[in-house]
Amino acid sequence: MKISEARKIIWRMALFACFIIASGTFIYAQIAYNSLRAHRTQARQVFLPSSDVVGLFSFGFKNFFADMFWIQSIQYIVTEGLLKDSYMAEYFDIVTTLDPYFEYPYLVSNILLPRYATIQDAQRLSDRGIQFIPSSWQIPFYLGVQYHVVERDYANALRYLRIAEKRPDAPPIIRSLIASYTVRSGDIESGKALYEALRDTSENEYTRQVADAWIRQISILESLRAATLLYKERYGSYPADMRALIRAGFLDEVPEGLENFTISIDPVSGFIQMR
Amino acid sequence: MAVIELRDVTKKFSGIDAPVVNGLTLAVEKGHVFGFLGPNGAGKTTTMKMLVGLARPTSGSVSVLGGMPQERNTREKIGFMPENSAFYLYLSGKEFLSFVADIFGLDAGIKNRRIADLLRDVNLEQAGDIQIRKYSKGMGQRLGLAQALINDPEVLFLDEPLDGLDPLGRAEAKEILMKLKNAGKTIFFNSHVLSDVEDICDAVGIIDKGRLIKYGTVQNVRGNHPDLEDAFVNIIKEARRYEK
Amino acid sequence: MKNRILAIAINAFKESMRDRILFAVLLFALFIIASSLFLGTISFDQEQKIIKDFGLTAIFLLQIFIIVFVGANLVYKEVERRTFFMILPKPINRAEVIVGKWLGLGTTIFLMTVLSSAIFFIIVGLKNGDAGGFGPLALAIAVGYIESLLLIMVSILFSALTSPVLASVYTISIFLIGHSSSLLLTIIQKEPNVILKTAVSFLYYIFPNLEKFNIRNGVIYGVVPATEQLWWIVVYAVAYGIVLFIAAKIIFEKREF
Repeated sequence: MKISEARKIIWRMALFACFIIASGTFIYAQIAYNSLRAHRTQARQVFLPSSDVVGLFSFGFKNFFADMFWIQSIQYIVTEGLLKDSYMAEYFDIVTTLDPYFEYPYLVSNILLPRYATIQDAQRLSDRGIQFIPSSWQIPFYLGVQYHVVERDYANALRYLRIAEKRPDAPPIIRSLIASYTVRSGDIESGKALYEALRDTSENEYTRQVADAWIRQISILESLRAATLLYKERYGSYPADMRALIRAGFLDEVPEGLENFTISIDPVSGFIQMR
Repeated sequence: MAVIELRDVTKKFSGIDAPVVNGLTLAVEKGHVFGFLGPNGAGKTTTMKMLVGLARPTSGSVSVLGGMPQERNTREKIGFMPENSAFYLYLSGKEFLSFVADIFGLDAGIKNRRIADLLRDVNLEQAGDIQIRKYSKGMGQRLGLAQALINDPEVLFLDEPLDGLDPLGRAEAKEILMKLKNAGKTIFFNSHVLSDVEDICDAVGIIDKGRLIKYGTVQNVRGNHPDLEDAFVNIIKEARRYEK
Repeated sequence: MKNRILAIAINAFKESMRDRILFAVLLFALFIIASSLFLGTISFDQEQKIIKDFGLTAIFLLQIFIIVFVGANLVYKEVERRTFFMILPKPINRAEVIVGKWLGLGTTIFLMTVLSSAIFFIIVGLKNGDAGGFGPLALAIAVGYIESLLLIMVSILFSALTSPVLASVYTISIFLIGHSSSLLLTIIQKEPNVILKTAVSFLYYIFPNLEKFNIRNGVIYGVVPATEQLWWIVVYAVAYGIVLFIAAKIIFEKREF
């Protein structure tokens, strides 16, 4: 064999060896890298542009991007969305900024955000939905109910339920809830009037029965109020609770129908609140 | 009567100091065949482009059949074959000629007859239905000539019509040109194949570096030289020596 | 004139239909439509909306890609390959060439739009089971097609000026600016500086406002623009198209070869 041919063969073998070594090295490097990352606790990393930026750069594809972010947000809810400090609100914000007529994200945000983020986030989104989807009674309704359930904030609950009530196709239950929340907020007279209107106008027998029951309870509350006023007259301050009224002889026992409610009496104003 | 007239035509391109065509004046009589000769880069193709409306002179005037080349009336009566004709390669020869005929607005009957006649004249009868991308260079040249004749023009402008043709192809092309000449067409063409120019031209012009340096009948231009090619080389050399 | 324009148009149509990019783009659009079927299943009961949104987007993207990639070559290829040397010396105006090219590519896009729309409607029909929403969807596709006719003229204008790569870049830029008109409007409304405000207002009116052709967002919810609004959209498209055509004509007529 000539020297030049031998050299060629050696070079080829060396090249082949290099190729094998290099291939093995990068595969090993990848395995080592993956192993290293797996052992480190990864900080949650979500790159999410602001809704304004996304809207600005959507260039005529707003609906498409809204759908993409919506699908992303669903995946996010399932993985990390229910954890503390998640970006759920930001996701829904982007989706509804891009497509403010997309009702479903508003409803889901009203269900999830009050519990897993803040109700203010849900309200911010719902206000947008209320503006853009005037036909939707569900958006204000869900938020109103959440204000009652999560926050016991009857002022806001009533505000949104009243918006829902005015929407087309709003179901009769909204009026019933308005009446209920009015009473729970302490405005017994208005609550009673609402229930009387409900009883007199509703076509549903069950609704009328419920309204009747509430009216009876409200009557009891009115008696309670009268009793607290008498208590104040005698002792110079409002009773702390119903037990005080019973001890003072103004009540024989806890009135029937109020067993399942927590009755609180404001020591300054004497306002009776029923929860 | 001159059907092609260039009067003191100058053409400059921006960014280039020296004009590509400089003060060119010549005329071609009706029914004559005029050969426009010159070395590479002399300004032949630029001149031809100005004659067919692809370019405009910086100064001077260009007239074809009494009108400007940009006018539609003028262009209806001329035919032009560019150097290294380029086609829509996916079309067949027939389809391309049909496309060109449509631009001239030929009726269907006339169009089909003309296409058949032209393909026969340029010896592409068998290749009419084949896609142009499969044509040889010689076939492409012949198709280029055919498309220039689709409207039976009064004046023909041919840029290197014999380029790429084998001796048989050249002979056939010359035959076509002689037939056209006998039919009273005026032909203005560029060529490097000076032997063929000598055979068919009535007059020639020699251009070098944008200037017309010799112009006249073939005999006048040839002078005492044994052939036109020899005359051409010597005239160019003389002109360049004089320039220096 | 009609025959000359038609000859150029048929040729432009044939040439663009032979462009391989066309079928790659069509496949891409069909892929987006097909992917909506899968993504719809993980969208929390929003399948119908996803399919419609994706479908309309895919058809629109198809139109835009054809304009950008095929349209940019329309004039330039003829210059580069010198096929124009055969055509322009014939008794045809450069304006007729422009109109012919526009018509040819417009026909190609029309065909592709019809094809992809047919597949889209079949999928929507199968999934929804009713044809009730087809009208608004078809209207959105039609108005999008009007936008694409305008963009073809933009593409031809740039193709007559510069290379295909730059023509594509410029056409895309016009598309993006055209769909960002709300940003310009916001700047105009909020900017206190009079000079800047005037300059931005000038830009706002000069660049084509393409967002008006985007009725895709509303039709998903059955919201269709009023007839008067649609008329103004058409009037705008025609008027702006004429302006572009005149500009392209002037540029192309000045062009020497």
